[in-house]
Amino acid sequence: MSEPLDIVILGGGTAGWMAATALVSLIPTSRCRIRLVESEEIGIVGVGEATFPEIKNLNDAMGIDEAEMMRATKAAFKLGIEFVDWGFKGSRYIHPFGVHGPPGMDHIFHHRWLRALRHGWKSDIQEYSFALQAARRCRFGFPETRLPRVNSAYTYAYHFDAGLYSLYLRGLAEQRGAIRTEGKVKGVIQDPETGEIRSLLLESGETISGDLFIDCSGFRSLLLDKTLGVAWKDWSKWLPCDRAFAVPSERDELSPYTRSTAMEAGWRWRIPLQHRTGNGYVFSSSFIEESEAAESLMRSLETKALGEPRMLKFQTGHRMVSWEKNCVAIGLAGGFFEPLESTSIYLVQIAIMELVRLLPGKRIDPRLREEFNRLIDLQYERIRDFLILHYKLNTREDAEIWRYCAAMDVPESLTRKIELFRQSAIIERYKDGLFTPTSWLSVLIGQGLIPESYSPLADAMPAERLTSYLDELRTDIEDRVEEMLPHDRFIDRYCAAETAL
Amino acid sequence: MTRRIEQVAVVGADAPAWMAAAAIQRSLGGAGIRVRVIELPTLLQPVDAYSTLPELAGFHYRIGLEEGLLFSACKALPVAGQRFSNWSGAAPPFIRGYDQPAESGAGLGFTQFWIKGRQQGLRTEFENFSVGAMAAKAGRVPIPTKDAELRAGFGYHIDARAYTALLKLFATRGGVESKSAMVAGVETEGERIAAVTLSDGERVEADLFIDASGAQAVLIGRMAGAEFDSWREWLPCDRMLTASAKALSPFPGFSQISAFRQGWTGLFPLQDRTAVVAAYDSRQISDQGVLDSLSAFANLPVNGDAVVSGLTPGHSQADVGRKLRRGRRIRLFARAARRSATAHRPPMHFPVDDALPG
Repeated sequence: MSEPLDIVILGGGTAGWMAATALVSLIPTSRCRIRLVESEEIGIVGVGEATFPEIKNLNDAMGIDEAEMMRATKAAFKLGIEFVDWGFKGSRYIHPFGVHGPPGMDHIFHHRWLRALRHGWKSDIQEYSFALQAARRCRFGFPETRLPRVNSAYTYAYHFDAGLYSLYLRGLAEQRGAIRTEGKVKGVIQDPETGEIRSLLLESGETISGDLFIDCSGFRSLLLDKTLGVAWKDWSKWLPCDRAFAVPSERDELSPYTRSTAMEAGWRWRIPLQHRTGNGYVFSSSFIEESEAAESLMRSLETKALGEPRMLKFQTGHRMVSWEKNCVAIGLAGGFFEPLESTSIYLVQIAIMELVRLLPGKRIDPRLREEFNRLIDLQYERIRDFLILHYKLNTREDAEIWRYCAAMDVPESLTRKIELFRQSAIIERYKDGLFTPTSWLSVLIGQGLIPESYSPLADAMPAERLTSYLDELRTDIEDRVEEMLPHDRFIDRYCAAETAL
Repeated sequence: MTRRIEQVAVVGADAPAWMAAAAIQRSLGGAGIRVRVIELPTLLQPVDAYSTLPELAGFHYRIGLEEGLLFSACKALPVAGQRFSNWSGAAPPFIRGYDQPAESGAGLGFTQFWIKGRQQGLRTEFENFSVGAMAAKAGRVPIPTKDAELRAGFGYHIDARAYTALLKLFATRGGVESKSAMVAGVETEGERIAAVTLSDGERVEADLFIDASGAQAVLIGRMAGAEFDSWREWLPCDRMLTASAKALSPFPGFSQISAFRQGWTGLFPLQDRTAVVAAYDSRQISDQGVLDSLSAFANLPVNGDAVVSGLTPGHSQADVGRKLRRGRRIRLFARAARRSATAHRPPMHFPVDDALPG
């Protein structure tokens, strides 16, 4: 068998250590050696304190003990994202990590609900989502796995300290054989013929050679952009936010959901952890002054600030290709989305999982690279459309950014989905990429779009049965939510971080 | 809110028409939707059989059609897969079992491990790791189970005329109305069909028309932009001959698809006979040529009538799904070559044939 593949990861933030841990855990050491170069002098962005449920798959695959990871990262559970004032002032909805209606009926449930609505039986669709109701009442429990019940059709994610998550992963990766090198990169040596990266030259004079380089250098994109010159695809005309202020504050109520509140020039996040609450204001500098945005964020805090707001600049979009020659960008080096749907760590994860699946040999087969790029592009486009949806579907007239977004032209792939839903309540289905029909449903309805029609299939249920069907479902959900522990008590029992108490 | 659809008209014949009618009646009858079938003359001959994929069982379940009826009334046999012979040089035959794919996800998939095994000297064929293929070889049928790690379903070989009769009975008992007629004219109103005029003068209105008339495309063929996109460039067979041979005993658990120089033959065992099909390229062999060699190709004496029809693989541009377009059919054994109606059958996803054991 051939020599193992030498993989060099540049950058040790969340992306770098996730990649290192995954590669060292999932690929036999006889097939690859992992080195990670990072400098303690360079700060990390630590994007994404809120995650998406898919992260559990990767953690499980890497053999991570959930409770231990949660203790180490001061994590709490997350059942969805609450959107406040988004579609219109005073609106409030949760995008839950679970279905609306009984399990296995999500293709028809909202049509039945619409039918009842049409016939004057007004109710909020949020009453029929178990995960959503549990989130609202700040309760938590693991999904029922044995029987198909209202409390079985949901998943969950985490709020955690991303810096601590990197640190935790670093411990695992090093223990499992990844080699860490402290140092700053002074130069990159390329093959004069092919342009492939041969080695990184460090300020210490050390040279780190490899077969495959993973660029986790963050916004600087030292390898993919600065070295290989891969162009950027700019999506800021649809997602105009380009700055964020972030500030932690003292611990607040441990609600098991992320909150996103629409603001005068963007939106504000609230992420409750065991030891603090993460806050931030994502805004567009075209619509508000930086200083004004910072003040607005500080004013809005519900608990005492634990520091000064820190600003981040960015542009939404991604590199034309994520994998060029023998260099794969993972994380911010490859692309950026505002954390509206907590997709940053998901994108890191999916890139890692595809890379592991498509791992090349010492000579890189371009077909593997093309397949990787095809899949990653698709992931970016799915998320792009879903994020734009939040901005596009609004009827707020009170601020310029909202008027701009309501009027803007959006990608045809999104227009098609919105119009299909508007006319028929049908949600376009797709196989690859994030966001299930149930996610689309919660945002489409949550933003205030009530379809003009619904599927005739919903008319097959006898009219006298419909309201009792909805009532029974709501009661069932209420009862089962009552059986759950309050989220903070669940955390205390399951994974309390020592310093948090 | 736009006005609800109330009346659906299905124009066509045989299984496609009655499957559509039964399914719509069953799902939407309770919502007040009425279904009427304008039944065109059948395109089926006694030799015809349907060969289906495992998905059909789910369809029957959804519409509430009892599976037992296929066996008691339609001479059906379950099959666990398809065996392909002579498709790839001297390579041995292989069976494509009707396994259900494993859950998608980050997993590598079994193939990678099999290839690794081969490189290390493993001799076991790929199909030996398929529940469906192994069941087929053993003449058995796997029963789909929910929690098993490896899962496989089964398809059916069904007598086409008996199945059509069963579906028709099922649909009409469920409330579908029907009338045998020919279509004399189609009235359009802008982009939609307003009504269909029948040969007896009756005018049939509906909110939605379903064209299940096969290659005749009686309705869709008259709509603007309804071009037929031919895929013959990649799928060269343009003729199909259908015949029968004696029943096989014991029943094999699979369909047998064997390539010959100019096409392929298929053996589809039923309870009372074996349906024999040959598809071929008319530029390379004549109908008579195929007929003369059929028993040899199929390694089974073919008896009774044989029916030949033209076919063009492809699909209609008007988003009405794929079909095999069939031209006129000729009975080869009949005394005077007699034209029968233009034939249609649902797509057979697989090509044909070689020798069955036993």
